[in-house]
Amino acid sequence: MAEPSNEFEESLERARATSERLRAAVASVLVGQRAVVDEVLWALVGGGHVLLEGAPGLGKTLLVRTLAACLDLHFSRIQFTPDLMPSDVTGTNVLVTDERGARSFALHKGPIFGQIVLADEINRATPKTQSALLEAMQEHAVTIAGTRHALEEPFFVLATENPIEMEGTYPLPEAQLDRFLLKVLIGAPTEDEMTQILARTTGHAQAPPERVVDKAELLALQASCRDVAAAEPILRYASRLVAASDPASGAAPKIVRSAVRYGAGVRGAQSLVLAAKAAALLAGRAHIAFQDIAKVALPVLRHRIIRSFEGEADGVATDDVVRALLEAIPTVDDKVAKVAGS
Amino acid sequence: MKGDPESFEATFRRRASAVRRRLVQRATLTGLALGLTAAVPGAAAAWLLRAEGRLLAPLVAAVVFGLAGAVLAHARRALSDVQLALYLDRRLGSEELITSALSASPDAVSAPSLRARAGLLLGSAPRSRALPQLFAWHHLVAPLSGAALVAVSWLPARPSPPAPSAAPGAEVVVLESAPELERAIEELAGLRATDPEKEERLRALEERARALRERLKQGAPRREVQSELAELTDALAAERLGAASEERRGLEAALAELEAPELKGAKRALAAGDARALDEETSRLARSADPKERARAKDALDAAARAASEEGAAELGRALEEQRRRFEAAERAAATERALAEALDGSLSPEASRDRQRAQEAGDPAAARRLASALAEAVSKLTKEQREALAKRLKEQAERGGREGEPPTDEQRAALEELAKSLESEQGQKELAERLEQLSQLPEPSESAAFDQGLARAADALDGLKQELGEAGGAAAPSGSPAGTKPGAGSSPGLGGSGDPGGPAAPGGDGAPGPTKKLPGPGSPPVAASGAPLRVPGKPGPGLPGELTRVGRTPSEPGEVANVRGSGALGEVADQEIGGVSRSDVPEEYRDQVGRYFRP
Repeated sequence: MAEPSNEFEESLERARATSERLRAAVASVLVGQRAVVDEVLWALVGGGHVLLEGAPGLGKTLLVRTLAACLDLHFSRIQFTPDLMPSDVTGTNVLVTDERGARSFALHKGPIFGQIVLADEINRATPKTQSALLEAMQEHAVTIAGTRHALEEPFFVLATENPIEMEGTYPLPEAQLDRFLLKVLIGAPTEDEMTQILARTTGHAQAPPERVVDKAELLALQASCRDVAAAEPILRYASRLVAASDPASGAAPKIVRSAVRYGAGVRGAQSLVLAAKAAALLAGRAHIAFQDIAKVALPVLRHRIIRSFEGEADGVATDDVVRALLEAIPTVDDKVAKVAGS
Repeated sequence: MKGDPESFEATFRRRASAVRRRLVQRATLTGLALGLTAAVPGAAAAWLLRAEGRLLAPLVAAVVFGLAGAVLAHARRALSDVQLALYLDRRLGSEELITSALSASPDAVSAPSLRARAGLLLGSAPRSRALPQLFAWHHLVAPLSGAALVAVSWLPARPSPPAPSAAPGAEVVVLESAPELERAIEELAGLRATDPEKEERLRALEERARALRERLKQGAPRREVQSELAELTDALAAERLGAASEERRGLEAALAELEAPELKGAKRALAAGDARALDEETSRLARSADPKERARAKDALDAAARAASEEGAAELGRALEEQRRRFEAAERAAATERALAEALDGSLSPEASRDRQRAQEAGDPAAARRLASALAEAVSKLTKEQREALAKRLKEQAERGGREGEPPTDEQRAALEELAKSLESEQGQKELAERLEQLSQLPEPSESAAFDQGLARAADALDGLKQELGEAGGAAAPSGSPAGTKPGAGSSPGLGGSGDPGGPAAPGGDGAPGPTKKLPGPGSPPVAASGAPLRVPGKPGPGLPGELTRVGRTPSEPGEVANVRGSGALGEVADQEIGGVSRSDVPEEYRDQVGRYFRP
């Protein structure tokens, strides 16, 4: 039994080292945004997709591009516009003439066939085009002209959307939002970060970052993530947390009952545990803790909670709802809390 | 190896046992604190209720119940292994490592790593850090409660409150011998009524008196004894009044026949049911010097006896017939006295002469008795010559009349001849002296008077006992007995009893000598019962009706219904009671107040 233990301990050590390398590589290009980088790494290790939301110019695209460069993965970018068609995303069969003059259809792969796909301003495309991403994100495959094409692993979609300039946009439907493991909010840089950004970007162009993680290492990380232990009390906590986001639940806090129309579902709970596992793995732990659940709850649940009309009218943010859930739902039962508190 | 699963399991079990032991200890302390806290109010209550001697058992019970409750509560809330692991994770800050290690499947890739890490953590964690604290803030209550209990146990006992005073009359009276009650029982036993129902009631009263005697020997509350005595005296008074009320029509008819002025006293005595007074009045009338008056009186008694009998009052009729016979006997005796007194006129003492005058003019029975005594003495002292001379003179008087030359009446003649015949021999002289001596004594009462006197003596004896109990310090129970039945008590002047308030009287009858009793009233000397009349006709008090006054009862006229025993429950008003105050003899100006007093 000592052998697997050593292997797993080594994988844990590798995961911790890999995450450190990645953070350092990204940090060499992207100033600040350490929390954003960590959250994106959780999704990467957990095998999920990320929806990045932030104002223009905050480095969303740069983050994705840097990450792709560091991971030695095939990067592709789709700029979503209202006239973008699904085939522009997935690709299409085109008629080609060979050297002998024979004509045939050949698959012209779209940008979705990349490994790190940047879906920039995803909410500017029509729902029809947005839905072209659904199959790819959920099943890591696309069907073109009746033929199913598997996408190369690892497959990672990073979509961005702009919270301002909402005119002429198409908000993502709930079904598609649910496919994103995390929704990461990118905030404005601090003064120090801004100064550092100015220093870096107003001189000569910098050299691209080094590739610090290859494809095999990333796949190993993703496999190790699934091996991270989740004890039953913690799974129950995640379940209680998600269940309490439903306004019909008896355990729902007051803000949920007043401001939420639909809570998170099963996929939300799965995402919660998976993201927590990724966070634990990147922290060098073989198990998840309550604090991991709490740490990932905001990016996991914020886009899965649908506010009611009253909630929107009152300006209640989904982050407020998640924070209220974390406050209202105890991690352990009263007996344990009472004894532990004594 | 510390990191292998067995080591983790063993370490965890050891830690878990230690934690569980500590939790039991905490629960025990909590139970002790609760028990002691619960015992403090009990101890305080025991001190307040002065039950310190019975404090130990509740104290022990409170502590035991507190301990048992705490241990039971702990058992119900015992932590499972997973909960203990969560507790240890919290205490050691291990981010659920122990919980994950405990929950990890043995086949999981991460399980060995987790167990190794958890085992290391548990093995290296200080014991004090892993264990919950033994003492909690609420355990402070235990020493405080203990101190309070000690303080309560050291407090001096509260002084006992003064014993509540017994209700008036609640004290037990024990009388080994009650002469008054014995006398009343004797009197009642000696009484025989001609009416069977009355006889039955008398026997019932006798039985009650005997039962009271037994109760007094064993001891009974003073109040109850006084109440029983009051009821008995009431019942005796009711018996005395009963004859008149039961034979009211006959009585009214008899009274109607006694309308002559000289019969006023007899009428009053008859109306009052005072047989003794009637005896006296009959005797007085029989000694009247006026033959016509005597004849009218005799006829009136005859007529009254007949009228009573005709109206169904047989007993009253018999009593009046007896009075008539007594009248005739007294008339004969008076004639003898008069004749002899006239014959001995020169040899009588001045006192005897005055008595002769009073007896002849007013019919005073006492003067007549004193005269008879003087005559008896004079007759007994006659010499032979004097006797013969007297006999001769009496014969002459019988033949030719008195000194004034008036011819003697038949009655006088018969008396003179009888006297002369008696004085012809020495033996006759002796017999005459004895007969005169008998006349000087009080006459035997009539049958009805004897019965009435027996009842009165019994009532008087019971009154004596009642007074004796009252003087012993108990409060007198309300009795409602007729005031006039208390001889000489003076509380009801003029109500037919001894009208002299505070004056002396004797409870004994006029026959057998009775004990003397000191009665209230300044300067009232003890009066020997022997020879004293049971009832002395008193002078009616001012403002009270003079005629036909019933003993101790509301003045009434013949034909009225008085002293009707109330019917119905207490607090209810009977039909005949409505407007009773306005029909009563209460003075007009007081009726409003009296009415308010009796308003239900």
